[in-house]
Parts: sequence; C-alpha cells; structure tokens
Amino acid sequence: MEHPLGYVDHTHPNLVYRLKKTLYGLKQASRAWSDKIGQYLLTSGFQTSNVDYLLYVKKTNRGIVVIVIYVDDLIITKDSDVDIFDLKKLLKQKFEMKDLGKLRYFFNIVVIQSPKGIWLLQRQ
Amino acid sequence: MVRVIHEIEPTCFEHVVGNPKWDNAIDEKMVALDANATWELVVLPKDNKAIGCKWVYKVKHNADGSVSRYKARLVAKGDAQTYDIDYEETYSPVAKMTTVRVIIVMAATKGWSLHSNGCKECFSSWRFTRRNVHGTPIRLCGPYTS
Repeated sequence: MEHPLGYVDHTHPNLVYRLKKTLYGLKQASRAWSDKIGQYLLTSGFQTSNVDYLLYVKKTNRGIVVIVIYVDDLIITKDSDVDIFDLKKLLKQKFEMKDLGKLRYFFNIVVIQSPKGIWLLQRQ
Repeated sequence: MVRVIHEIEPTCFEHVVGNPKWDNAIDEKMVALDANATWELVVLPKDNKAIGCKWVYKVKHNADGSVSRYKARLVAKGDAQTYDIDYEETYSPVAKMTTVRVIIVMAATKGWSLHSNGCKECFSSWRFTRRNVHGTPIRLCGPYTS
C-alpha cells in the first residue's frame, strides 16, 4: 500500500506498506472478520448450524444462547435464565463491540419488543 | 432545545492538513496502526503496484450534540485489488433472512428478548485468513451436533 497522506516519506519513495492485517476497504476484510468472530464463538462453546454458518448456538445447563451474525451486527437471543453478561463483556474486550441493548433496528426493519410479542415494521 | 448544528466532516486531506484537531486524529490512528503491527515497510517488488489509501474523517458527538472526538480512519482502496492476484475468495457474513425470521419467531413464542451487538471497527486489524496448500480457505465451521 502507498504511504498514507501526512506520512509520505519522500526520502524512501521505493518503500511501501506491506499489510499484515486488514484495513477497511480491503476485499479480504469481511472474510477475516467473520472467520475471527466465528473462531472465537466456536472456542467459547458455540456450535454452528449446518444450515446457516452464521447461526451459532450454545447449550448450557440453564438453557441455550443463539447468535446470528449479520455483517457487523450480532443478534443475540437466549433462554431468560441464561446470563450473557460475561459474553457481552468479552465481545466488547476482544472485538470492540458495542452493546446496543435490545434489538430495535435491523436491516431496515424496525423491531418492537413487548410482553405481548414482537412486531416487525418495514415502514421507513 | 437540542443543538443540531453539526460540524461538517471534511472529505479531503487538503482541507484538514494543518488543522491541529485533525492532525492529531491522524497521528493517533497512525500510532495505533503501527502499535497493532498492521504493516511493515518493504521495498516494492518489481512489476508490482501498491494500492492507494485515503483518510476518512468522522466527528463523534456526545448525546447533547457537543463534539466528543475527532476520528480519522485509514481506508485502503480495495477497488484497485484484482481477483486472483490480490485476493481469492470474498465473503460477506450475512445470515439468511430465513434464519433471522426463525430466530425472531422462536424468541416470540418462548418470550425471549432479542439483543443486539454492533461493531464499528470490525473490519480492521485482523490477520488475513490463512489458506491451505490448495489456496482454499481453511474451513472453520464444525458441524452442528445436538
């Protein structure tokens, strides 16, 4: 890669940056991310589905945790007895993920959760 | 009343150079990328062409509308990459809509709540996926067993 603006070294014009890790914009970036998060979930006891490799399920003695990966978003649901506080903490530490709380918005769909059920709205 | 006047995010380097807050943002990012061992400086191999990169500037706001941080992100110009030479297989981690629908139905019938975790920096600073001798990506997914 060429020298970033502001760091152009005119005394060494033949030197370039050989990337060892991904940067935004690279074709490899999304694959590297999904492999990384997938690997992490598998080592923390999740299993991936044969039907959809972006669906991860973990069974614990208190119930199950389900994670769906949608590009840079994770949708998480679980038995109400399962505590995912630690999982969220680790996701934050390892992946700089932000806990967005209850799912409210996803791929142009507004999600409203209430004790009566879940509403999905496509109104813009 | 909420203050809605937002500082304009610059689009080109010429507009930010010499401006201390953006210079700082750029320096900060370069230090972080260096510390992360993102790259090494090498002599460009003969007959190769280096891809370009550019800075993208973001102004982060607090909930009250005040500026919290000036952020610069370095973006590689991946559109210049050529299939088979610079990269092999691309992949976008998008779950099937059916999967998402099933999960939502499960949550609704069982009374589970749906949570969301987002990631702004998820596409940067990962080691490139290793490949086996045939150049195909190593499959990470194990079968789901019940």
